[in-house]
Amino acid sequence: MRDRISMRQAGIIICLTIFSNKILLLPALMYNFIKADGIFSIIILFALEFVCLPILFLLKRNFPDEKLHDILKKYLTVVGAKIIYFMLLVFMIFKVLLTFSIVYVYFKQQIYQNEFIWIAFVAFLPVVNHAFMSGIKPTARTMELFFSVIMAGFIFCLVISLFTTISTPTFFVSSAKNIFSSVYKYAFTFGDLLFMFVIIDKIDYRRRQERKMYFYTFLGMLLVVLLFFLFYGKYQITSFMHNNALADLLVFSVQFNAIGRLDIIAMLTIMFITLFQMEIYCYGFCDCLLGIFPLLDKKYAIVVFDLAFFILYYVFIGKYEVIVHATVSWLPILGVIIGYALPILCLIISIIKGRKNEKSG
Amino acid sequence: MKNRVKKMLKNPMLIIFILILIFFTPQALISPGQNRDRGVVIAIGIDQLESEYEISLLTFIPTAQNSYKELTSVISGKGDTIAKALYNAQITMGRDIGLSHAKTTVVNEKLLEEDVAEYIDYLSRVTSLSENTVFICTNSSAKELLEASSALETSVGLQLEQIIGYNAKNLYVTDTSLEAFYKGYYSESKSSLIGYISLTSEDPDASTATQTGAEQTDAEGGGSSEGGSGKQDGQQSKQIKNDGQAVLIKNGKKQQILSVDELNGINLLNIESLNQIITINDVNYKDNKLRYSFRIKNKRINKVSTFENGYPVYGAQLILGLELVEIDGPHENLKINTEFSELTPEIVKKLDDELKTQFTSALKILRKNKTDVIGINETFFKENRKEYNRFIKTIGGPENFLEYVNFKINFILESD
Repeated sequence: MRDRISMRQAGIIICLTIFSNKILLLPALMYNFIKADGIFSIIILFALEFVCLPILFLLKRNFPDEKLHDILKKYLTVVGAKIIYFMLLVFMIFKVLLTFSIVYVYFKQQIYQNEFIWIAFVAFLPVVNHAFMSGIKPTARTMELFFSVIMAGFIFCLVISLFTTISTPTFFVSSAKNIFSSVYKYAFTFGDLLFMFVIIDKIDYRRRQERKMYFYTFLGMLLVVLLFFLFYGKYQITSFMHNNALADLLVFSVQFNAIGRLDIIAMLTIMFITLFQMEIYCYGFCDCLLGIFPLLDKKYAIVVFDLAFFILYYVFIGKYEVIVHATVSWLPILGVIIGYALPILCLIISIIKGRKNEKSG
Repeated sequence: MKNRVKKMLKNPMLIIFILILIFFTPQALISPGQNRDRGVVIAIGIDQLESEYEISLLTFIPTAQNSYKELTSVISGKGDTIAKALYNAQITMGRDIGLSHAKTTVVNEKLLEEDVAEYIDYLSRVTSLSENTVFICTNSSAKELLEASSALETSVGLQLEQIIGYNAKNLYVTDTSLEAFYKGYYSESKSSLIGYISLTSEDPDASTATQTGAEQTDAEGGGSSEGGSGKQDGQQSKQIKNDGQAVLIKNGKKQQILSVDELNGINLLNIESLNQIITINDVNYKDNKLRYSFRIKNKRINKVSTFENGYPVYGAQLILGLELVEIDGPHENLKINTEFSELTPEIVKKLDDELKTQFTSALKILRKNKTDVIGINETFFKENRKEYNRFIKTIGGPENFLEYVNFKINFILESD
C-alpha cells in the first residue's frame, strides 16, 4: 500500500488536530463560563481523549488492514455503518467550518479589518483540496516537514508571555456541576482523535512505535494546557475579552512593543496550524463521503466538500457568531455521540473480535 | 518541450497558481496604496462637550519626502454619540480609520463623570482599539493634549506614552493601559487607577515646545483638522504638565485625583515601587535642626492575611533599605550627598511616623472611595477563601471589605 503513514506521522497529525479550535477562542469562552477552572475542564476532556488512543491501537491490532467502514459494516450492518459515517461527515465539515470561521475573524482583525472572504477561500481551499487529492502520505509528510517550525512558533508565543506579569490563576471558583457542564458544552471542540479512526487502515502500525503516538498526543495536550494556564495567568479577570489566546500572549507583551510586530510569529503559526487542520478535516470529510458512496470518485468527493463548505458558510453559518453558538448548543450532542460513543463502540468490537480470535486460534 | 509544458499543466496546483496570478495581479497593481484609504491613528482623544462628544485623532500620514520627519496632525469630529463622532472624524480625514496602531487613549475629566468603559468598550470591540494602549485622563480637553503632545514630539521627540510610561513604571507601578483599567473595572472592587496629565496655559511668547500651524474648521461637517501642532499666534498655547498624578476610578467613574505623595503611600505595599523620597524635618544634629531626605533603594515585604475574631487582619513587615540623599540645614558642610549614614533612633522614629502617616492617609482615601486598588480583596480571597466569602456576605459585598480590614504594618528601616 503506497498511501500509508508512519506512526510518527500519525502522531504529528494527532498533535496538530489537538490544537484545533482550542488555541484562539476557546480559552476566552471557557473563562466566561467557568473562569480559570476551564483548565480542569480541558484536562478532563483530554483525559477522555487520551483513552481513545489505546482503543485505536486495539482496533488496529484486531483489524490490521481493514477500513473503519468495513469494520462497522461487519458488526452494525451497512445501514448502521452509513449512519455513523454520515455523523462523522457532519462532524468533519463543522470542524472545518469552525476552524475556518475563527481563524478568518482573527486574520480580519489582524490584517485587513475589512471583508476578504474570497481571498481567504482562494488561500485555503486550493491547498486543502490538493492535500486530499495527493493523499494522506504527502499531506502527512508536509506536516512532518513543518512540524518543527509550528512547534517553534507555538512555544515562542508561550515563552514570550513569561516576560510579562504572570500570576497563578484563581482556581476552584466554579462548582463541580459547572465544570462538568462545560465538559459537555465544549465536547465538540474536542474528540479530534476520531480522525485517526477514520484513517485507521492508512496507518503503518508497529506495536513498538506506539509510544511515538503517545508522545505526540501528550505533547499536543500539554502545550494546550500550558497555553490555557499562561493565558489565564496573564489576563486573569479580563481573559474573556481576548478572543485570540495564542496571538494575545504575544500582542499584549508591552515590553516587546519596541521591537515591533512580533505577532507576525503568532500569525504564521496559526496560519500553518489552520491549513493543516483544514486539510485533515477535509480529508476526513471526503473519506467519509467515499465510505457512504463508495462508487464516487475522489474528484467528486472534493467537489462535494467545496460545495458543502460554501453553502454552509453562506446559507447556514454566514456569521461567525452563529457557528460559535452552534458549537455550544446542538453540536455538543454530535461531539459526545461521535467523540466518545464511537470509540466505546470500537472498544466493544475489538473485544468481540479479540475473543473470536482467541477461540479460533 | 511541448510535452513538458503539457505535463506541467496537468498539475492542478500549477493551474490554480496561474489562475490566482491572473485574477489578483492586475487587481493588486491597479489598486491604490493602503495609505490612500487608511489613516494610521497613533493616539485617540475623547472629549465630552456640553451636549455632544468630540473624537480627536492624532494621525500619521506616510508621505514621501526628503527628510525622515513624520507628518502628524490632529483631526477631530463631533457627534451626539461616539460612533457618530468617529464617523465625522473619518470624513474629515478622508480615510478609513484604523485604531490598531493607537498607542495612547486620552479622555477628558468630564467623560469620567460617567462610566467611561461604555465608550471605550465601543472602540475596543468595533474599531479594534488595542487593549495595551496607554489610557490617560486630562484636565482640560483630550484634543488639546493631543495637539500639545504632537508639538512636544516635533520639538524634542518625546512621545506622550513615554512620559506616562515613566509614571507607570515609577509611580503607579502598574500599566496605565486599557488592559489594566479593565482588570480593575471587572474586579470585585471595580476600581482602577489611570494616569493623569494636565495641560497648563502658557504665555505664547514663553512657549518653547509648540509650533505655529494652520487651523481649519468645518462647522457643518462637525469636524476640524489642524496641520502641524500648537495654536495660532496670539492665542494662548497649552503645555503638557506631568505632576505624576493619577485618577482613582470606581465603576468607570472618576473618584479622586491622587498626588504623588498619595500614590507613594498606596505603593508602600508594592514591592516593585522603589526610589520614593521620604523627607523628615527637625532632625537634631549637633544642636542644629536639619531636614533629611531618604530614598527607598530596596524593599522586602513579608505579608500575611488572616482572620482574627472573625475580622480580617492584614499584616505586613516592610524592610526598607534607605539611602540618605540630601541633608538641608544651616550647616553648609552637610549639604552634600552622603553615601553612608547611620540611622539614629530619632531618625528611625521620624521615618517610621512619616511612612505610617503616608500609608494611613492613602488608606483613608481608598476606604473613603471604596476603591481597593492594592488588591486586598484578591489576597484574602486567595488565602482565606472560606472566611472571606462568609465575611463578605455580612458586610454587603466586596467593595466594603477594605473598610473592615485591620492593617498591622511594621517598618524595619535599614541604612543602605
